[in-house]
Amino acid sequence: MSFTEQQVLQLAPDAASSKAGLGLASASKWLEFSRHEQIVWGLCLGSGKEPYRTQVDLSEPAFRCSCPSRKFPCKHGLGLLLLLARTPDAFSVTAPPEWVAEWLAGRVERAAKQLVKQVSQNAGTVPNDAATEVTPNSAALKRAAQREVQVANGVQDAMRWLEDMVRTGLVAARSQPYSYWDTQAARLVDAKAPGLARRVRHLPELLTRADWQDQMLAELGNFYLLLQAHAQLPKLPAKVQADVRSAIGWTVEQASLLQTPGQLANWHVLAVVQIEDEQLLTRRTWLQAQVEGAGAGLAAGQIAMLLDFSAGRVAMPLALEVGSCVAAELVFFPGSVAQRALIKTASLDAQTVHQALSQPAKYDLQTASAGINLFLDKMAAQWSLNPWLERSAGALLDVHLVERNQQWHIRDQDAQLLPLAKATALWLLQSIGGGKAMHLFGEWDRHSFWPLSVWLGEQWVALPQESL
Amino acid sequence: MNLELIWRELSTFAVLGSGGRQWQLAKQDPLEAASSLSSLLNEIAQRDDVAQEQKILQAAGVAAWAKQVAQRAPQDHLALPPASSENVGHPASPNLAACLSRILQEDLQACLPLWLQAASQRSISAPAICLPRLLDLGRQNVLLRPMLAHVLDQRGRWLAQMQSNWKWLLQDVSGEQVQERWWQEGNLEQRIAFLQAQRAQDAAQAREMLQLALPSEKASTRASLLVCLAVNLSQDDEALLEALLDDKAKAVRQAAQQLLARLPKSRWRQRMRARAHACVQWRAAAPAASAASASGWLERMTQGVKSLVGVAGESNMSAAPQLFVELPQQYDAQMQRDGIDEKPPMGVGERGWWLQQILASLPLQEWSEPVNAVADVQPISISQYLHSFQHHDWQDVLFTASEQACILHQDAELARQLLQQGQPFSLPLFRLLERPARLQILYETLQQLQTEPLRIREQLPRYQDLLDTPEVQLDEKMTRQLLATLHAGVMVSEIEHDSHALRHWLLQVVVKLDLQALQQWWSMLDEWERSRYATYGTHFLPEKLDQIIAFRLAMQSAFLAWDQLNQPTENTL
Repeated sequence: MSFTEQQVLQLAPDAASSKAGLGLASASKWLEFSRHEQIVWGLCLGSGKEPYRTQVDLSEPAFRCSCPSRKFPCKHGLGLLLLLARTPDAFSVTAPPEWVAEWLAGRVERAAKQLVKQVSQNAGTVPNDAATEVTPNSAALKRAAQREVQVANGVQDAMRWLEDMVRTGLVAARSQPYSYWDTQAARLVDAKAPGLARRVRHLPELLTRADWQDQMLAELGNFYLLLQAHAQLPKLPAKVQADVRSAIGWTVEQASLLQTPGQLANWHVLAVVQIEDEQLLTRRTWLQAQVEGAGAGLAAGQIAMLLDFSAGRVAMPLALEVGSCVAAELVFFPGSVAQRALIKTASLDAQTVHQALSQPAKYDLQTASAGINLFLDKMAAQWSLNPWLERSAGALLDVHLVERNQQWHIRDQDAQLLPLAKATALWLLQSIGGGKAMHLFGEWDRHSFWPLSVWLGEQWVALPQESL
Repeated sequence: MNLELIWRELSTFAVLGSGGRQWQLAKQDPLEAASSLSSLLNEIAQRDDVAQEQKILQAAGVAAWAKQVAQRAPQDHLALPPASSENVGHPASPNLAACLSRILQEDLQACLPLWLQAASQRSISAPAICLPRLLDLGRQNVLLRPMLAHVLDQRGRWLAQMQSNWKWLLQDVSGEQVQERWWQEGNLEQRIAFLQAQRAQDAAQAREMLQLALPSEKASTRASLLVCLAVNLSQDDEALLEALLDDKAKAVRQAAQQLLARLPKSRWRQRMRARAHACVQWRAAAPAASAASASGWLERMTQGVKSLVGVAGESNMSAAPQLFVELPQQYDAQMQRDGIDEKPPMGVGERGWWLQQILASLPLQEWSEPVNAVADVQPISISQYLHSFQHHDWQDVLFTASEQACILHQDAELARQLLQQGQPFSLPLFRLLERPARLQILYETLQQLQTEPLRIREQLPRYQDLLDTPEVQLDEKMTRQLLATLHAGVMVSEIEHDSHALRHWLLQVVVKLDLQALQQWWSMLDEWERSRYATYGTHFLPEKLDQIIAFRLAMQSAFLAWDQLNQPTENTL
């Protein structure tokens, strides 16, 4: 399995770790480094007496290091992988030493236990008409019912909270301390509705904006609509039920989702964005189906979003490289808008892509929007189906960056304006564009556009989230 | 339907609070009222079974959704800002761009001057993705700016117009054609550039322009513009400068004093000379008997001069002139007008401080009466002055004043001799020297240090200033000497502790060394020797050296590859 430095760096828990990892990505930093099939390991001399023992299982990837760092993966793990990305041939291929073999044995043992657990769980389930759906056993049913009750109570509580806020007026809410919002968010977390809690935590930020009255009212109205929809959930169509449950924070069991048929296509990797929030690392990877050769039932230019999380000592999977194209079968999460997806099967190397689909993997700019209003139409088509969609993404052709009323915008050829997100790597983008028209791919959150990639030299190139 | 109107009403209710008020849907055109959205909102508004706030939230949810779906982009009525001009330089090759990215991303910033210098020599522009970071670095590091200005090119200048932090790039007007309108419309740097050009062309007219402009300018601008008179400075400027000694701003007075100091016939300099001559005198040496009867301090000084002026043997003693110093007795208003501060800095005596300021304003040869006034002696040379300062009662005052005078009057010979005297190293003096003289001093210093290896750890970092000019590169000979000196220190050292100063110095220096000599030397060290470097206050030095050598080699090949595709340039990497 081969990968790039950029992919490794996206595994880093923070910028400091990236930098430290880069510092360790030379052979001189390692007393030894070797590999065997999917395992790499090395001895790195640190400040301790004994060299640190660093090992990585490339299949996930999974990391282990004897250093005392609390960061995960630590700089040694990153450094070793970076070294592998830079100079794969420098790694000697030998049998793993005892300490690596022990770790591997432990992993195999844990995996076996997990499998046994899964099998025994499944043994207590009653198969439904198709192999894709299973009915949970009674304990699981009881837990699910308990959660339904908790969420329903949380929803009622949140409705009363919103009604009180509107009764006393948003002006009064504006002067509330942060605890006012945080307490309500915590109650929703306790009620097992993390999606609602996240919405509440987002509210104080809206109050700081220039047009806070409009934004706050729109957000509260949308929020209330969601709570009302939940109160009438059984009456709603299945797809809308899935939208509501997803917005409230129910998760979909990925194992059963992967049992459903997927969409095979050449998927262009258009953007990868990684965000750290309260020790949770979230990565969104935006893909687009190649127009030619897309599988049956797949809209040309279909956008898909892969969502990965990392917290504590669980590492992110390797990121896909922006500008590349993968042949993959994707399954979409249920909902009115096909957006979030899982990779069911993928062939990550270009040769296999061509063998699988025998189509040149070239991105077709015709799927991008030739004007801002066209872009907004595409976005509106999604929001009209699901008003609780957090964000979507798309490409815009021939836009300039302009500053109007101390806010940066993109401007299309018809002089229409769209505000840019605060997180935009503005100066980098300006530098790349030089004041000329550019093609951009980015996220739209109903308020602002966040450029994540720029079209350069016939391919999408990721904009670094922090300028160099 | 008028969704905006409905939204405004909802917004008013929500912002002020719905308590006690009834929200109703505004009256609409019958046709519009038949639309499904309108029906829905009507239905919500007319419900009697729910509270006002519930109605408002429901209606807001529906209306916000409708607004979202119907959202149109606003029209921009302004013209597009101008785009950047095309870069003048060549675009960097992917390998060169990758090298620069690594320098900026990894801990390799010490290598940045190397990339910038090599790229400037080849007229290569920095890749766009690196420009914001380079502009930031230019803001932080003044010394990098000349090299950065080359590689930032037109795109960088275009960017710099948009960020106040990056204005430094635009302030460099050296490469532009001076324009007359700059004097009235330009920024300070452009006005200075214009005035300097005008002085070079017609000094009198430029002086008149300045004289007219000064009354309406703020103090800092007055001081900055006044400095332009240094171009073609002449006795004709004296009247204006003398008048400016009464300016209310100290910065302006100081600028005027500095210029007057450079006019040998100015009244200001004459006044300073008179003050100096009243304090400093060379006299022919007294006979031994009379010297023995002299007061204690005078006797010590005389003995000191005897031993240091290089006069060999007692027979010549009587011919050697001696330096007599008397401190100014009192401070007066004219001294204040001439810019002599009354209050000394902490730890300096008041009268010594006055003398130091007086002497610092004059060339060394003007400190005392012309030497031909002293009977039977040769003219006093710089070295005699400097020898006489050593072990003098006023040694500190005399050396400090001579250094300041040297800088003010740009006296390269005095600078050379002061540096050779072994006084604490001074970068401004060093910069007065021509490059060969600078390198000679560095070479001799390194040779001397090599013989005293125990002092190296402490002494080497003091010479950081010698190398702080980014473009300084050491040739093979100097590289070998520096490494030999360092090696001597490392091999005798028995102390194991971390020295931040030494580590910092070494990392700065290592990118300035001749790459081939460095690589050869490093590869010839055995494991034991390398381990000595790790314990010589620089735990990570061996690793860092490996990293930097490998990176410099990679960068060198990237530039060589560029040269092969373009015209060859002398390699300085």
